[in-house]
Amino acid sequence: MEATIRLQEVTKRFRKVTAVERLDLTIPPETIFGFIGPNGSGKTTTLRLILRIFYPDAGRVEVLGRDHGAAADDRIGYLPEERGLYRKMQIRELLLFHAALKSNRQAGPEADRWLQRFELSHYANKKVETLSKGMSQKIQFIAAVIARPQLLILDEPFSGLDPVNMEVLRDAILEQRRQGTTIIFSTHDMDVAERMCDRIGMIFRGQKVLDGTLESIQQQYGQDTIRIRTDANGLLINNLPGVDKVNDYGQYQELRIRPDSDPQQILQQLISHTRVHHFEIARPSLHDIFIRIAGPAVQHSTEAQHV
Amino acid sequence: MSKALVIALREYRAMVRTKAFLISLVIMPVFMGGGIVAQVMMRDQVDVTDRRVVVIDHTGVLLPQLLEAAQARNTYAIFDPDTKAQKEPRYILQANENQPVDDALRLQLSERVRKHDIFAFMEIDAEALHGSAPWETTSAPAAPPIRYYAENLVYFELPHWLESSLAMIIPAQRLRSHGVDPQLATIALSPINVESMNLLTNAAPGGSQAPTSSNRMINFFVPMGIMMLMFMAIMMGAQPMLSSVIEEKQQRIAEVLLGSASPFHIMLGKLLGNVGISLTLVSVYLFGGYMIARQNGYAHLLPVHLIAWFIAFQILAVLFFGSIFIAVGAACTDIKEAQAYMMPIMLLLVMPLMIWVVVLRDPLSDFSRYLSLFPPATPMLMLLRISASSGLPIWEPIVGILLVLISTVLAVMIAGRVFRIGILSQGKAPKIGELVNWVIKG
Repeated sequence: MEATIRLQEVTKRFRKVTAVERLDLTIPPETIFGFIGPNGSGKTTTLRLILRIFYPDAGRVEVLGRDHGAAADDRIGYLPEERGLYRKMQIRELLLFHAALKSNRQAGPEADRWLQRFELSHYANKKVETLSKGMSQKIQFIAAVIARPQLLILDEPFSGLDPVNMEVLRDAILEQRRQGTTIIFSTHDMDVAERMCDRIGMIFRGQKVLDGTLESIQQQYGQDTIRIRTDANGLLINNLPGVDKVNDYGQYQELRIRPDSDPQQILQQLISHTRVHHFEIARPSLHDIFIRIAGPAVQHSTEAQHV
Repeated sequence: MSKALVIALREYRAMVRTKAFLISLVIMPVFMGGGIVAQVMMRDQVDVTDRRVVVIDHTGVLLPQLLEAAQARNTYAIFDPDTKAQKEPRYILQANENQPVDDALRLQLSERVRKHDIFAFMEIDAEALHGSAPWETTSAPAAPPIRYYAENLVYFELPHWLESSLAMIIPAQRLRSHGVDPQLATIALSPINVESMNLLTNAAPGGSQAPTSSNRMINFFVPMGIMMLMFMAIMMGAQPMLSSVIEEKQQRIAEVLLGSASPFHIMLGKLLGNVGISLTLVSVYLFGGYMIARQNGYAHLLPVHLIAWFIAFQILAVLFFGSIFIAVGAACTDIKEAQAYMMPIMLLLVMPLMIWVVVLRDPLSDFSRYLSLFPPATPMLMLLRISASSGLPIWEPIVGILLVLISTVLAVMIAGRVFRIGILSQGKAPKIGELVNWVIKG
């Protein structure tokens, strides 16, 4: 099956700053692709390259079978990170405007269906400025999907949403995927990425550092993580031999062990000091992998190398 | 293109629904109508209080003739011929009876003026009758032989009447003193009026149209009104684009639009929308203006070719200035930042308003021609010239419109490049050098 998106050796520079460097990325159709990376790593630039808002300085960007053409393919829906709606427009009119921009002049029933689904029907003739932040975000989402896109690009779709609205939006995104839409979304929420995405890609300082399914990514990092819950609440585990790093999440702790360490010995040491309620040899979480790649230790070591 | 039209339609709808548009649509006719009403009311509200003037006549012969002229005026010239109502004040001249005539007397009369006992006083020296030939003038300027003193020197009518009356009386008196028959002197000095006429046109078959007398004020105000309407059309059409683009940047709407349309289509849509807004506004005014002109018999002053030129220039001017405003809006993040860039552009825009009188006075001069071929000024000044003179060679507006067209295409291209980069840039506005870089490298 032909890939929905194929980036080959793509580089984009802004004056002296290289935002994206020799990026290769392939996203198959009908998948949810999670795009992670620290702030300023090049996620939004990559999304804008896919949308052809930016053009690459080098490399090839192929989207939905086309590697040329002006911006704004009508088959792509886009929800940018910075939300923006005309505040003085009526909501239904605004949605029809966005549909018309995607060459869909018959979007009335679709707009009504989405408004009903998001329980916003009685706001249809109200102005955007009367909406709360969560409502605006939902309207913005409808604007992105109203023309039934084949590819949906969502830049931080869940930021600032309460759990209820987050669930509503998540269901809507999953429904889009079921209907055959390929979805790319960038997020800082690793839990969401783990739970929702078929594939995950991470970009750090303009370069791709992770790409694959969650399982394949976790496999790269091996089973070097032990998740524990004890009565000591993390107080006694800082100096355990064979442990490289401890992440204390309050209710449980994650220990990253050295490759030559034996988990059984660590368990024995723990039992000798405290009561152990939970002991699990696990793969590292996406959060942990993210920190390993882009955490302060890496930042400091690279900075030191540059000095 | 259809995306540009979708954006244009949204811009148009958004603008025509604003209070600012409705106010500007209504306010101009209200001002114009109000001006006419005010004039009518003012005409009825003229102050007809008697104007008393003390005349110190050192010649001993002029005052009786002045009194006679004032009497004639007060009897015949100050009443409306239709309503018979008094429309101007009476001028009551009084001889000075106090001696000696010195500064103490002048001070005393000045006090009487300040106390509103009299309106003014005038002193006529005996030398006023002598006159002198140009070759007899001495190098040292003498004191003026006739002096008018008043508190309100802005009230021109009275000194003007005194001057024109004396301009009749004194030469006649001089001729009489040289033995010329008084009746002959009066006939020789009777005033001559030059009536301004419109040029003849070959309208009627078998003969030319009868010449019609022309109203100088109308010939002055119609070109001015046409030019002002163009200025307003540009301001209403182009200026809102600055705030619209800045708003779209500030509220991050631009990126949403860029997900659906190319920067060029967005810009084109905005320009077309604003051309539509400006055309709507001008159509209303031109229609209203034409109806008023027709009502008053001046429809010939708004011929079809003038309206066609107006619309052609208006569309190009809105596109030209609009694209500049769009570029400035895209380059800046708020109105404050934009103001620094706006100053030179506004100067270009208002430049015709500073020099239009010179152009109107001599629309066919080289100065007027060159100035009206300077593209930013062409729409206003060329229209001024077209409406002021029927003798304007046709090639001039054609060259003018071609130059504006080329400038507009260039402006749209340059603005397109600035818009494409600027619309997504946040933070500090670029320096001029950076802007130039955007334009060159795209």
